[in-house]
Amino acid sequence: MDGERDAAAESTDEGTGALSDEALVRRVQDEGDRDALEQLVRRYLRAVHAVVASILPDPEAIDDAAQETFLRALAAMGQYDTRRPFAPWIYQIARNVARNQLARQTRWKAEPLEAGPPVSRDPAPDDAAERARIRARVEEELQRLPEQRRIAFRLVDVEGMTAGEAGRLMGVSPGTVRSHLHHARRELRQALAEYGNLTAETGG
Amino acid sequence: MNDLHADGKDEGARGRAPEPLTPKPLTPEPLTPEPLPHAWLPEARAPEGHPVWQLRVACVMSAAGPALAPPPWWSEMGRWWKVSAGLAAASLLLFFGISDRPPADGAGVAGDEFALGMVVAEGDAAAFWGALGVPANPVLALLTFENPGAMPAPTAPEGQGEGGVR
Repeated sequence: MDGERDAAAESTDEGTGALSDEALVRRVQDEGDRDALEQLVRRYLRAVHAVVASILPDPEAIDDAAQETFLRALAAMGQYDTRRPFAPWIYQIARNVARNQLARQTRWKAEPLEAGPPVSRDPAPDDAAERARIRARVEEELQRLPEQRRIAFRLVDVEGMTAGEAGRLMGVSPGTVRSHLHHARRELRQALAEYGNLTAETGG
Repeated sequence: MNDLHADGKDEGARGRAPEPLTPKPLTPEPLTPEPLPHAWLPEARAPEGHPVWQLRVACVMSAAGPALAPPPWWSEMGRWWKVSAGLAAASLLLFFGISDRPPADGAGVAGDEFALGMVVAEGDAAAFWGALGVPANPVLALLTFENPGAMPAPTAPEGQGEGGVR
Protein backbone atom coordinates (compact mmCIF):
# COMPACT_ATOMS: atom_id res chain seq x y z
CA MET A 1 0.00 0.00 0.00
CA ASP A 2 2.83 2.30 0.76
CA GLY A 3 4.21 1.56 -2.64
CA GLU A 4 1.00 2.79 -4.22
CA ARG A 5 1.08 5.86 -2.08
CA ASP A 6 4.65 6.58 -3.04
CA ALA A 7 3.83 6.12 -6.67
CA ALA A 8 1.01 8.60 -6.32
CA ALA A 9 3.29 10.95 -4.49
CA GLU A 10 5.83 11.02 -7.27
CA SER A 11 3.39 11.11 -10.19
CA THR A 12 3.45 14.12 -12.40
CA ASP A 13 1.06 15.59 -14.89
CA GLU A 14 2.00 14.38 -18.31
CA GLY A 15 3.27 17.05 -20.61
CA THR A 16 3.78 19.82 -18.09
CA GLY A 17 6.01 17.87 -15.73
CA ALA A 18 4.24 19.54 -12.83
CA LEU A 19 3.50 17.43 -9.80
CA SER A 20 0.04 15.89 -9.73
CA ASP A 21 -2.52 17.08 -7.22
CA GLU A 22 -2.14 13.92 -5.21
CA ALA A 23 1.64 14.28 -5.09
CA LEU A 24 1.25 17.83 -3.82
CA VAL A 25 -1.21 16.70 -1.18
CA ARG A 26 1.25 14.02 -0.07
CA ARG A 27 3.92 16.68 0.41
CA VAL A 28 1.57 18.78 2.47
CA GLN A 29 0.64 15.74 4.54
CA ASP A 30 4.19 14.55 5.12
CA GLU A 31 6.25 17.69 5.30
CA GLY A 32 3.78 20.53 5.78
CA ASP A 33 5.15 21.79 2.47
CA ARG A 34 3.97 25.36 2.06
CA ASP A 35 4.85 25.59 -1.62
CA ALA A 36 2.89 22.44 -2.38
CA LEU A 37 -0.17 23.86 -0.68
CA GLU A 38 0.22 27.13 -2.54
CA GLN A 39 0.30 25.28 -5.85
CA LEU A 40 -2.90 23.47 -4.94
CA VAL A 41 -4.56 26.74 -3.97
CA ARG A 42 -3.47 28.32 -7.25
CA ARG A 43 -4.86 25.41 -9.22
CA TYR A 44 -8.23 25.28 -7.55
CA LEU A 45 -9.04 28.68 -6.12
CA ARG A 46 -10.82 29.89 -9.23
CA ALA A 47 -12.89 26.73 -9.55
CA VAL A 48 -13.71 26.75 -5.84
CA HIS A 49 -14.77 30.37 -6.21
CA ALA A 50 -17.10 29.45 -9.04
CA VAL A 51 -18.64 26.55 -7.12
CA VAL A 52 -19.16 28.67 -4.04
CA ALA A 53 -20.58 31.52 -6.14
CA SER A 54 -23.16 29.22 -7.62
CA ILE A 55 -24.47 28.38 -4.16
CA LEU A 56 -24.07 31.64 -2.29
CA PRO A 57 -26.09 34.56 -3.61
CA ASP A 58 -24.15 37.08 -1.53
CA PRO A 59 -20.97 38.03 -3.45
CA GLU A 60 -19.31 39.32 -0.30
CA ALA A 61 -19.46 35.90 1.30
CA ILE A 62 -17.75 34.14 -1.59
CA ASP A 63 -14.18 35.08 -0.71
CA ASP A 64 -14.67 33.94 2.88
CA ALA A 65 -16.22 30.67 1.81
CA ALA A 66 -13.46 29.96 -0.70
CA GLN A 67 -10.83 30.63 1.94
CA GLU A 68 -12.63 28.48 4.47
CA THR A 69 -12.77 25.68 1.91
CA PHE A 70 -8.98 25.52 1.73
CA LEU A 71 -8.56 25.82 5.47
CA ARG A 72 -10.95 22.93 6.00
CA ALA A 73 -9.20 20.92 3.33
CA LEU A 74 -5.89 21.57 5.04
CA ALA A 75 -7.29 20.52 8.39
CA ALA A 76 -8.70 17.33 6.88
CA MET A 77 -5.69 16.53 4.72
CA GLY A 78 -4.52 13.92 7.20
CA GLN A 79 -7.54 11.79 6.31
CA TYR A 80 -7.32 12.37 2.56
CA ASP A 81 -6.51 9.23 0.57
CA THR A 82 -4.03 10.21 -2.15
CA ARG A 83 -5.21 7.34 -4.36
CA ARG A 84 -8.42 9.27 -4.92
CA PRO A 85 -8.68 12.31 -7.17
CA PHE A 86 -8.24 15.60 -5.39
CA ALA A 87 -10.62 17.73 -7.47
CA PRO A 88 -13.92 16.10 -6.41
CA TRP A 89 -12.70 16.11 -2.82
CA ILE A 90 -12.10 19.86 -2.71
CA TYR A 91 -15.30 20.38 -4.71
CA GLN A 92 -17.29 18.54 -2.07
CA ILE A 93 -15.70 20.59 0.70
CA ALA A 94 -16.51 23.79 -1.18
CA ARG A 95 -20.13 22.73 -1.55
CA ASN A 96 -20.45 21.91 2.12
CA VAL A 97 -18.85 25.16 3.21
CA ALA A 98 -21.09 27.18 0.90
CA ARG A 99 -24.20 25.34 2.04
CA ASN A 100 -23.36 25.97 5.66
CA GLN A 101 -22.78 29.65 5.00
CA LEU A 102 -26.03 29.85 3.08
CA ALA A 103 -27.86 28.26 5.99
CA ARG A 104 -26.33 30.81 8.34
CA GLN A 105 -27.24 33.68 6.03
CA THR A 106 -30.83 32.59 5.59
CA ARG A 107 -31.12 32.22 9.33
CA TRP A 108 -30.21 35.87 9.74
CA LYS A 109 -32.00 37.17 6.67
CA ALA A 110 -35.47 35.71 6.82
CA GLU A 111 -36.84 37.87 3.99
CA PRO A 112 -37.52 35.82 0.89
CA LEU A 113 -36.26 36.87 -2.48
CA GLU A 114 -38.99 38.38 -4.57
CA ALA A 115 -39.06 38.27 -8.30
CA GLY A 116 -39.03 41.74 -9.74
CA PRO A 117 -41.35 42.70 -12.55
CA PRO A 118 -40.08 42.13 -16.05
CA VAL A 119 -38.22 45.22 -17.08
CA SER A 120 -38.34 45.05 -20.79
CA ARG A 121 -39.34 42.86 -23.65
CA ASP A 122 -36.46 44.04 -25.73
CA PRO A 123 -34.40 40.92 -26.46
CA ALA A 124 -31.14 42.86 -26.55
CA PRO A 125 -31.32 45.61 -24.00
CA ASP A 126 -28.49 48.04 -24.48
CA ASP A 127 -29.19 50.04 -21.43
CA ALA A 128 -26.71 49.08 -18.69
CA ALA A 129 -29.23 49.43 -15.89
CA GLU A 130 -31.71 47.19 -17.59
CA ARG A 131 -29.04 44.67 -18.33
CA ALA A 132 -28.06 44.68 -14.70
CA ARG A 133 -31.64 44.04 -13.70
CA ILE A 134 -31.93 41.15 -16.11
CA ARG A 135 -28.71 39.73 -14.75
CA ALA A 136 -30.13 39.97 -11.27
CA ARG A 137 -33.17 38.10 -12.48
CA VAL A 138 -31.00 35.44 -14.07
CA GLU A 139 -29.12 35.07 -10.80
CA GLU A 140 -32.41 34.72 -9.03
CA GLU A 141 -33.64 32.06 -11.41
CA LEU A 142 -30.32 30.29 -11.09
CA GLN A 143 -30.86 30.02 -7.36
CA ARG A 144 -34.09 28.16 -8.05
CA LEU A 145 -32.35 25.46 -10.07
CA PRO A 146 -31.23 22.25 -8.42
CA GLU A 147 -27.71 22.65 -7.09
CA GLN A 148 -25.91 20.34 -9.51
CA ARG A 149 -27.54 21.99 -12.53
CA ARG A 150 -26.72 25.40 -11.19
CA ILE A 151 -23.08 24.47 -10.65
CA ALA A 152 -22.76 22.88 -14.07
CA PHE A 153 -24.31 25.96 -15.66
CA ARG A 154 -21.99 28.26 -13.76
CA LEU A 155 -18.86 26.28 -14.55
CA VAL A 156 -19.54 25.79 -18.25
CA ASP A 157 -21.69 28.67 -19.46
CA VAL A 158 -20.43 31.37 -17.15
CA GLU A 159 -16.84 30.41 -16.38
CA GLY A 160 -16.14 28.84 -19.74
CA MET A 161 -15.00 25.39 -18.61
CA THR A 162 -15.48 22.44 -20.90
CA ALA A 163 -17.89 19.70 -19.87
CA GLY A 164 -14.85 17.47 -19.25
CA GLU A 165 -13.19 19.97 -16.94
CA ALA A 166 -16.38 20.58 -15.04
CA GLY A 167 -16.99 16.84 -14.78
CA ARG A 168 -13.50 16.23 -13.41
CA LEU A 169 -14.10 18.82 -10.74
CA MET A 170 -17.58 17.62 -9.89
CA GLY A 171 -16.60 13.99 -9.94
CA VAL A 172 -19.10 13.10 -12.69
CA SER A 173 -18.84 12.23 -16.37
CA PRO A 174 -18.89 14.92 -19.07
CA GLY A 175 -22.19 13.46 -20.24
CA THR A 176 -23.72 14.09 -16.84
CA VAL A 177 -22.48 17.66 -16.96
CA ARG A 178 -24.02 18.12 -20.39
CA SER A 179 -27.29 16.71 -19.08
CA HIS A 180 -27.29 19.15 -16.17
CA LEU A 181 -26.47 21.93 -18.59
CA HIS A 182 -29.29 20.95 -20.91
CA HIS A 183 -31.87 21.09 -18.15
CA ALA A 184 -30.46 24.27 -16.65
CA ARG A 185 -30.57 26.13 -19.96
CA ARG A 186 -34.05 24.90 -20.76
CA GLU A 187 -35.42 25.87 -17.36
CA LEU A 188 -33.75 29.26 -17.46
CA ARG A 189 -35.10 29.95 -20.91
CA GLN A 190 -38.58 29.05 -19.79
CA ALA A 191 -38.31 31.24 -16.75
CA LEU A 192 -36.92 34.16 -18.69
CA ALA A 193 -39.19 33.86 -21.69
CA GLU A 194 -40.97 37.01 -20.64
CA TYR A 195 -37.86 39.01 -21.46
CA GLY A 196 -38.13 38.32 -25.14
CA ASN A 197 -37.88 35.65 -27.69
CA LEU A 198 -34.61 34.06 -26.70
CA THR A 199 -35.00 31.48 -29.40
CA ALA A 200 -35.18 34.10 -32.07
CA GLU A 201 -32.28 36.00 -30.63
CA THR A 202 -29.87 33.17 -30.18
CA GLY A 203 -31.04 30.97 -32.97
CA GLY A 204 -31.59 28.05 -30.61
CA MET B 1 -38.37 7.65 -30.74
CA ASN B 2 -40.43 5.28 -32.83
CA ASP B 3 -43.98 5.22 -31.66
CA LEU B 4 -45.56 2.23 -33.37
CA HIS B 5 -49.04 2.98 -32.11
CA ALA B 6 -49.05 6.61 -33.06
CA ASP B 7 -50.76 6.22 -36.39
CA GLY B 8 -52.50 2.91 -35.84
CA LYS B 9 -50.33 1.13 -38.43
CA ASP B 10 -49.22 -1.48 -35.96
CA GLU B 11 -52.69 -2.95 -35.64
CA GLY B 12 -53.28 -6.04 -37.70
CA ALA B 13 -49.62 -6.62 -38.25
CA ARG B 14 -50.12 -10.25 -39.37
CA GLY B 15 -51.80 -9.36 -42.63
CA ARG B 16 -49.47 -6.50 -43.30
CA ALA B 17 -46.79 -6.43 -45.94
CA PRO B 18 -43.23 -6.83 -44.64
CA GLU B 19 -41.56 -3.65 -43.50
CA PRO B 20 -39.03 -2.07 -45.83
CA LEU B 21 -35.39 -2.72 -44.98
CA THR B 22 -34.64 0.96 -44.80
CA PRO B 23 -35.47 2.06 -41.28
CA LYS B 24 -37.73 4.95 -40.72
CA PRO B 25 -35.86 8.10 -39.77
CA LEU B 26 -35.74 8.46 -36.01
CA THR B 27 -37.19 11.51 -34.39
CA PRO B 28 -34.15 13.60 -33.47
CA GLU B 29 -33.33 13.96 -29.80
CA PRO B 30 -34.06 17.44 -28.51
CA LEU B 31 -30.91 19.49 -28.87
CA THR B 32 -29.32 21.17 -25.93
CA PRO B 33 -30.65 24.70 -25.86
CA GLU B 34 -28.26 27.41 -26.83
CA PRO B 35 -26.59 29.34 -24.05
CA LEU B 36 -28.27 32.44 -22.76
CA PRO B 37 -27.13 35.76 -24.20
CA HIS B 38 -23.76 36.55 -22.77
CA ALA B 39 -24.89 39.97 -21.59
CA TRP B 40 -27.47 38.33 -19.36
CA LEU B 41 -25.16 35.93 -17.65
CA PRO B 42 -23.61 36.61 -14.27
CA GLU B 43 -20.10 38.00 -14.24
CA ALA B 44 -17.46 35.35 -14.75
CA ARG B 45 -14.54 35.05 -12.36
CA ALA B 46 -11.43 36.97 -13.31
CA PRO B 47 -9.28 34.96 -15.74
CA GLU B 48 -6.36 32.84 -14.59
CA GLY B 49 -3.28 34.94 -13.94
CA HIS B 50 -5.25 38.05 -13.02
CA PRO B 51 -3.67 39.93 -10.11
CA VAL B 52 -6.80 39.40 -8.03
CA TRP B 53 -5.97 35.70 -7.82
CA GLN B 54 -2.48 36.47 -6.56
CA LEU B 55 -4.05 38.50 -3.82
CA ARG B 56 -6.58 35.82 -2.95
CA VAL B 57 -3.97 33.08 -2.93
CA ALA B 58 -1.88 35.22 -0.59
CA CYS B 59 -4.89 35.64 1.70
CA VAL B 60 -5.52 31.90 1.81
CA MET B 61 -1.86 31.13 2.45
CA SER B 62 -1.70 33.73 5.18
CA ALA B 63 -4.74 32.22 6.87
CA ALA B 64 -3.32 28.72 6.47
CA GLY B 65 0.04 29.73 7.95
CA PRO B 66 -0.52 28.62 11.55
CA ALA B 67 -1.80 25.23 10.45
CA LEU B 68 1.26 24.74 8.25
CA ALA B 69 3.88 25.83 10.79
CA PRO B 70 6.32 23.02 11.54
CA PRO B 71 5.64 21.43 14.89
CA PRO B 72 7.90 22.62 17.71
CA TRP B 73 10.88 20.43 18.65
CA TRP B 74 9.37 19.43 21.96
CA SER B 75 6.25 18.26 20.20
CA GLU B 76 8.31 16.13 17.84
CA MET B 77 10.30 14.74 20.74
CA GLY B 78 7.10 14.20 22.62
CA ARG B 79 6.11 11.39 20.29
CA TRP B 80 8.94 9.21 21.63
CA TRP B 81 9.31 10.91 24.97
CA LYS B 82 5.81 9.90 25.95
CA VAL B 83 6.58 6.26 25.38
CA SER B 84 9.85 6.30 27.30
CA ALA B 85 8.37 8.38 30.10
CA GLY B 86 5.54 5.93 30.40
CA LEU B 87 7.96 3.05 30.68
CA ALA B 88 10.06 4.91 33.24
CA ALA B 89 7.00 5.73 35.33
CA ALA B 90 5.86 2.14 35.18
CA SER B 91 9.25 0.84 36.33
CA LEU B 92 9.41 3.37 39.17
CA LEU B 93 5.95 2.41 40.32
CA LEU B 94 6.88 -1.21 40.20
CA PHE B 95 10.06 -0.61 42.21
CA PHE B 96 8.49 1.51 44.91
CA GLY B 97 5.37 -0.55 44.95
CA ILE B 98 7.37 -3.61 45.89
CA SER B 99 9.65 -1.95 48.41
CA ASP B 100 6.80 -0.07 50.13
CA ARG B 101 4.58 -3.11 50.42
CA PRO B 102 3.50 -3.66 54.03
CA PRO B 103 5.15 -6.63 55.76
CA ALA B 104 3.44 -9.91 55.24
CA ASP B 105 1.20 -11.39 57.88
CA GLY B 106 3.28 -13.26 60.42
CA ALA B 107 4.82 -10.11 61.90
CA GLY B 108 7.75 -9.79 59.59
CA VAL B 109 8.80 -13.41 59.80
CA ALA B 110 10.12 -14.61 56.50
CA GLY B 111 8.31 -17.58 55.02
CA ASP B 112 11.28 -19.95 55.35
CA GLU B 113 11.91 -18.96 58.96
CA PHE B 114 8.23 -19.43 59.82
CA ALA B 115 8.16 -22.93 58.36
CA LEU B 116 11.39 -23.87 60.10
CA GLY B 117 10.02 -22.56 63.39
CA MET B 118 6.94 -24.74 62.98
CA VAL B 119 9.10 -27.78 62.49
CA VAL B 120 11.27 -26.98 65.48
CA ALA B 121 8.29 -26.27 67.77
CA GLU B 122 6.64 -29.54 66.72
CA GLY B 123 3.14 -28.03 66.78
CA ASP B 124 3.57 -26.33 70.16
CA ALA B 125 2.32 -22.79 69.63
CA ALA B 126 3.87 -21.35 72.77
CA ALA B 127 7.23 -22.89 71.91
CA PHE B 128 6.98 -21.55 68.43
CA TRP B 129 6.38 -17.96 69.54
CA GLY B 130 8.99 -18.30 72.21
CA ALA B 131 11.55 -19.38 69.63
CA LEU B 132 10.76 -16.18 67.78
CA GLY B 133 11.32 -14.15 70.98
CA VAL B 134 7.67 -13.62 71.84
CA PRO B 135 6.78 -14.70 75.33
CA ALA B 136 3.25 -16.10 75.43
CA ASN B 137 1.12 -18.40 77.54
CA PRO B 138 -0.09 -21.58 75.80
CA VAL B 139 -3.73 -20.48 75.32
CA LEU B 140 -2.91 -17.03 73.90
CA ALA B 141 -0.15 -18.52 71.82
CA LEU B 142 -2.62 -20.99 70.31
CA LEU B 143 -5.17 -18.24 69.62
CA THR B 144 -2.65 -15.98 67.96
CA PHE B 145 -1.24 -18.89 66.08
CA GLU B 146 -4.65 -19.37 64.52
CA ASN B 147 -4.94 -15.61 63.95
CA PRO B 148 -1.39 -14.37 63.30
CA GLY B 149 -2.48 -10.79 62.42
CA ALA B 150 -3.32 -10.18 66.09
CA MET B 151 0.25 -10.74 67.26
CA PRO B 152 2.65 -7.81 67.78
CA ALA B 153 5.84 -7.62 65.77
CA PRO B 154 8.52 -9.85 67.21
CA THR B 155 11.21 -8.20 69.24
CA ALA B 156 14.77 -9.29 69.75
CA PRO B 157 15.11 -12.31 72.02
CA GLU B 158 15.80 -11.37 75.60
CA GLY B 159 18.31 -14.04 76.43
CA GLN B 160 15.72 -16.77 76.68
CA GLY B 161 16.63 -20.09 75.33
CA GLU B 162 14.58 -22.15 72.99
CA GLY B 163 11.37 -23.39 74.53
CA GLY B 164 11.79 -21.08 77.52
CA VAL B 165 8.09 -20.40 77.74
CA ARG B 166 7.03 -23.92 77.78
